[in-house]
Amino acid sequence: MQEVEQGLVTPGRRLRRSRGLSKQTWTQIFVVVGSLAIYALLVWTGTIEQLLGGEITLDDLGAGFNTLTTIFLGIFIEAAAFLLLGVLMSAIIQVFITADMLEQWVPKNRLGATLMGCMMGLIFPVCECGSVPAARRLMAKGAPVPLGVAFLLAAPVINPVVIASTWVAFGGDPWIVGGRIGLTILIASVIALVFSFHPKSRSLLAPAALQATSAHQDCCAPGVKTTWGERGRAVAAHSSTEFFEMGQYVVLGAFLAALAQTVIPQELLLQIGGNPISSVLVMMLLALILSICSTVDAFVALSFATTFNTGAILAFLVFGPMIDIKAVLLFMSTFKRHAVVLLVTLATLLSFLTAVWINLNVG
Amino acid sequence: MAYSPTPIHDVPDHRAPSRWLPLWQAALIGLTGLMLLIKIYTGTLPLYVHTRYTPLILGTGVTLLLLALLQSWFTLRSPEGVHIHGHEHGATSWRSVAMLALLVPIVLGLFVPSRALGSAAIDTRGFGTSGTGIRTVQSVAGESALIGIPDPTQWTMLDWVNALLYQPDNPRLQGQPIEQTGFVWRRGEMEQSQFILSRFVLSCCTADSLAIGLPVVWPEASALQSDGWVRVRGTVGLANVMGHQEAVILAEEVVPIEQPAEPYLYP
Repeated sequence: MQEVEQGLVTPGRRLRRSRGLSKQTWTQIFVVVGSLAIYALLVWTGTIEQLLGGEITLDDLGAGFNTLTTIFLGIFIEAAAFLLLGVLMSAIIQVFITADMLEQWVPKNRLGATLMGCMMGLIFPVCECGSVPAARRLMAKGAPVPLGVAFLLAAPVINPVVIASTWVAFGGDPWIVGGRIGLTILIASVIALVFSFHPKSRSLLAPAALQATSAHQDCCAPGVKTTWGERGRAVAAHSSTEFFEMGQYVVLGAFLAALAQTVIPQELLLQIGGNPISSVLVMMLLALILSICSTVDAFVALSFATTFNTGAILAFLVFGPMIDIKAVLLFMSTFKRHAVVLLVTLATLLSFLTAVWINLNVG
Repeated sequence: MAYSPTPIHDVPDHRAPSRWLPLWQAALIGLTGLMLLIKIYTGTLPLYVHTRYTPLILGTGVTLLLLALLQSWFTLRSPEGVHIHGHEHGATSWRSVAMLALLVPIVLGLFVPSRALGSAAIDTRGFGTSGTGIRTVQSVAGESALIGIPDPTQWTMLDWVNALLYQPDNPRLQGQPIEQTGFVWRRGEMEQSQFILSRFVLSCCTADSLAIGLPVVWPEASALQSDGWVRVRGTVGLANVMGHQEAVILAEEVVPIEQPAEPYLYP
């Protein structure tokens, strides 16, 4: 399935499709069943702390369920709002930006496209839940993959809201604010360039990401007459399909994050993070688990500012918006699995190395 | 496992089987929006997210409902296969887990009683007074923020925790009258006459919450129910809490109260 799937549904294709479950579906089922099993196990045995201390009662179980539910709904409600904003942004791109415009505006060389991707968050302010649908739509419209990847990774930080909240939280500390912006652009660019050197970079996209738009080209392609009613219908249909489709990743991500927060004592993590290297690791792990929206993560990072060194705080602020549990799951809607693995590995390594370098040489 | 609502060979007309898909999507999206609106209507939204996001969540709920209505209206109204054909190759199909995923927040949001974070959450989320709490937010932002409110009787618990953090025996604060509300949290190793009056501090949503607290000395502390909300009136003093000399509330009165509508503090 390397080529773009065209929108025609023939009975033949349909029959082919209905033969057994796709690999992706199996993965989803595996993840859901797996996490339910882990959940059951952990709830029954209590939190890790209780595990070590022994003695678990039915009350603990109920309390654990309440905590899990409250954290899950907190993440979900917040993420749903920002996801919807991203989906609407994606619908606007869909209806008002044509492939021709992208052709015209986007620089032809990979470096230009990458840098443009890094900066587009300034025009389309989205956090990490919103950047995925928007980036996906841009790439489906024909924007080069490096632009999409750079936008995906950088937009949650390189946007007015997040820069302002970081500035406010850290009282204008130029090292943190500048470091966050600089490192994000650096890491997003490196990863985008790596992707751009793939001989067939579009083959890294998940079929669903390309399909997301092919339907629409039928009715809104240039030369095809479209009424406003049809456009409105298209926006409604695409927004709801996209929200629905990405909603599953948000649900799963919010659930895993809430689960991790319910059972892993954070004090344990903080006790480990003493030296320049382990502190970076701990803050990255924390960013991954907490899955906090990038618009407010600066305030959370601030609460660790007295405990951790600059590199570790920057790792939290740079790595968190790119990679957290729900973001990684959302990536699955856009990239093939091996591309997601590459993306996550590169982002993790680069964040870790740059943060440790800062700890050893600057902080 | 593979579920197809209507086998193709039974229905020669292919738009019929796919019509249910957009309708089901619309139903779940609409219910998600409805869940958000119900949370706002019943006043339970502050248990999950910062109150400053209420307008955003309201907008989200209304937009989701609108999307759902539009989607179902277009689907039901259009007799042609044109746009339904458009959905057919959308990434979702009946076999996808996506079909059920959104049911999880809908069911948890609509049918499970809303609960604020309580004692159980402190055990894993860490506790402000142990040295890593969000309380440092304001300490870093400047002690002047606290001195900005000269009258300590107006202080929130966050202000108190901030003020007492670096100097528990601050002579300006010792002996001050204090009245605070919070929920009861205790640990096994604490004395019978002590508990910690706790609150959660939220920056955005419950994912970033952190507990803060003030130890209270009250002879009848052991009679208080864990997690129950109380109002404590007393004076600031010093006592040995779990092996540390800490600023505490020497309580004169502890009254059980209802959980406030907004149980969290905001930095």
